[in-house]
Amino acid sequence: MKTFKPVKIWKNLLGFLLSLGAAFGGLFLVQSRLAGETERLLADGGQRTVPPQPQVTAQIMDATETTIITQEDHLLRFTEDLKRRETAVLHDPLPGQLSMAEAVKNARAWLEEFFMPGLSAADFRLSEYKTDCYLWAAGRAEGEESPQEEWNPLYSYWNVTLHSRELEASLILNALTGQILEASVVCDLPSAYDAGESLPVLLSGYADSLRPDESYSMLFGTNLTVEAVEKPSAESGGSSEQKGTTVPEGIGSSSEQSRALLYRSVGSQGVLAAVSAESMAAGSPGKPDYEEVLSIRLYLTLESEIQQEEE
Amino acid sequence: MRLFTRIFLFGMLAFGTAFSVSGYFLLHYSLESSMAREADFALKQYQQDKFAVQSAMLSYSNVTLFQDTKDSQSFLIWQSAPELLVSVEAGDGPGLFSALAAELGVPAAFFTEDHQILFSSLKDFDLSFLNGLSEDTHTYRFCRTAEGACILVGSILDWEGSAEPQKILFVTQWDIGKTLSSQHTLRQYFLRCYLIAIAAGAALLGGLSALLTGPLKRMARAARRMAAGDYGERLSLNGDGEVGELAASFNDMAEAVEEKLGQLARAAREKEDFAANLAHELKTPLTSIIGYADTIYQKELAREELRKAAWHIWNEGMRLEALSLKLMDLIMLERQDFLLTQMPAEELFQDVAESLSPLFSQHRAEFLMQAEPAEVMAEYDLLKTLLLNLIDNSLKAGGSRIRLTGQREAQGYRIRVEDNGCGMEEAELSRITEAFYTVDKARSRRQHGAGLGLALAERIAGLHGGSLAFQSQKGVGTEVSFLLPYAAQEHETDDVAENFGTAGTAAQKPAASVGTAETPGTAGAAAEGTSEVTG
Repeated sequence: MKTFKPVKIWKNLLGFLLSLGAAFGGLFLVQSRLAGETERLLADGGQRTVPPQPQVTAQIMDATETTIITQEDHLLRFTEDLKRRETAVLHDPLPGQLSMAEAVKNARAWLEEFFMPGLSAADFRLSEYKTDCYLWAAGRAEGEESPQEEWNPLYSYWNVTLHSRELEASLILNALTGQILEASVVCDLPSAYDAGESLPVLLSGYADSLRPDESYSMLFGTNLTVEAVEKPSAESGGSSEQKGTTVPEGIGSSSEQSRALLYRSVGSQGVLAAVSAESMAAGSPGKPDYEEVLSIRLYLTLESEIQQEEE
Repeated sequence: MRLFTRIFLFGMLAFGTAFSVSGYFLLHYSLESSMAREADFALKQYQQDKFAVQSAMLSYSNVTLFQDTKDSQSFLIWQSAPELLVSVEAGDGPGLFSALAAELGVPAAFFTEDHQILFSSLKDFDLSFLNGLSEDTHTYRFCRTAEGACILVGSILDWEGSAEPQKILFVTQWDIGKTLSSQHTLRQYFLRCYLIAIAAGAALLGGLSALLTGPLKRMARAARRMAAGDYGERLSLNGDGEVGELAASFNDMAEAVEEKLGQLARAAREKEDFAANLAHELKTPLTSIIGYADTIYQKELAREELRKAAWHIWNEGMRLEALSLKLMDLIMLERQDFLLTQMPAEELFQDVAESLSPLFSQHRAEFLMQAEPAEVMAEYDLLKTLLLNLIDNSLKAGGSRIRLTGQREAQGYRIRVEDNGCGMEEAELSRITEAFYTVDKARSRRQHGAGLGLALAERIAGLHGGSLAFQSQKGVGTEVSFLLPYAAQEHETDDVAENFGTAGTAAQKPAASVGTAETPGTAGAAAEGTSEVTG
């Protein structure tokens, strides 16, 4: 006959309690461990140098040699790096690279001694300006590894933006050599400016600065348009309202604009130095007068890209 | 602890452990990677802010600024008045470092080299962080704030454009409250998922445990009922799994137990019957012996009466002797091992015929014998006893024509004894091999029979691997037969013969000679071939 055994009941009850204890104990353990981990991480800290300094010194000499031997390759590399600018990594100057002050000084000298004289404004001086600079290296795409070239000082670029009342210039300099690789300048239209004269001079000087040891012939393709920048006059539509169009609000809205594009081969690998110019008459709401603005861009492009654009 | 509880306990342990460990590693990885990602973001943002500050410091070194409030919009306008920088730093106007900080997207602070605050929009800032700053590296530290947590990043900057070389300690604060909040939310989700999973797991384990232990409980109940005497209890559990196999085995066991118990009950009844029959069989002759002995002792008897009484005592004594001899034979058969040997069947038949010839003469019975030659495995004495018992029974049944035949069959060598005696009812056939069972007790007693002959014969047939088969009809006669195994050589010969498609039985072999002995009381038989003896 079956007898009542209280010990068995207690054992079973203990088993159930153990089960529940294991289940909820695990939960409690996880929560408490994670809280502890969070506190541990929050008490943590560290230091980081971008780029890692020990690697840099050894690479500088190699990078310098590479600059001498393969200047054109470097230009090609720059055009590629520009395409990957969205993933750029900002970093402090490496040993041998220009400091921010040096980069600004270089940029300013380029504007005052080369660019503005090229626009027939030889006496231009950048007296008061605000800078905005950063040093960047092209980021590596996902899965892309090139440890030898990582943090090569040759492949870092200073982006220098100078704001003044007369102009706004954005220049890209090679951080090691100080070479101006690309420039985009928006300035008041100099009174003596003539596109037909100024642009070839700018392009020639720009291309020569990229390949100083070689001479290049000026190329004017049949598809190129070289237009004289026409100054808007009162008769030809100094006011947008007179032409029957609505001028959008804000500085930089234009009623008329002229464009010019010149390019020239740099070396034999299809790298082209190009200059594009655009002038416009800009007005502000409530102001009857127009300001004439000139936008010039000096940049590097590839022959293949030009051909694609033509097609 | 019950099996149900054990399954539940270990299941919950395994389930809880697996879920906890995997959840912990998942959340831990998420937390660590989030913090690392935030640190990375903070350092990248710091580098960007650092460039902005350095650029501004470069600009403000030779310009000054004031808030132009002429227009509705506020602009920062530069003027060529470097001397105003002093007044800016003194606190007039918006303040240089305040203006620098305003250009940044995150809270920032500027300190002099001796940790004097130039400007700070940081919250809950611990000045000890400044001790770890250096020029070459960006130092970061996680810290708690009132709103949550943040990452402090700092380094020492050179104020390149200033009149005198100066160093500024620049610190930014990157809020990671949202990240911690999302981690907290993740943990809350994990908590809910865990609770739901544990509840579902408990229900699942409970169901599973019940499913597994249910059949076992039913088996336990059935076993208890069997223990209480209900041997007809069977389980009706289907399935091919272990439980199904266990149930089938349980039912087989119950079947075997029931059968064994039936056998034991039958054996017990048989023993009781045996003891009762033995007592009865002893009592009758003993009563007679005692009676006659008492008569001799008490009375003065005439010579003729004395002889008659002595004859009765002798006669009953003979019965008792026969009874004891057969009982001894029965006991001996139970206890002793016998070795079957190879022998020719027809020789055995001849021996039997010779042994029984006086008996046939006495009863004036006709004895026919026909044996197909064969090598059989038998224990000679026992088999002879068996045949003598069967033939003796035929004679006692009043048979006047008794036929003993040996015939080859596929299963074995069949020996058959037929008579034309009184025969039996079919209902009695099932009991005639029981000890002390007699069909006609008066006749049996008259003939000194104890009802043990056929029991003995049945045991001997059993020792030869067979059993007695009876066919009888009341008033017509009885036929008893049994099988003897062939000798191995004989059997192989049969197989070979069958394989070659020839007549495999000795009956179909050409008989070398057929001998017929029709001398009453003697037995003559041919050595080979089919022997026929008529007694």
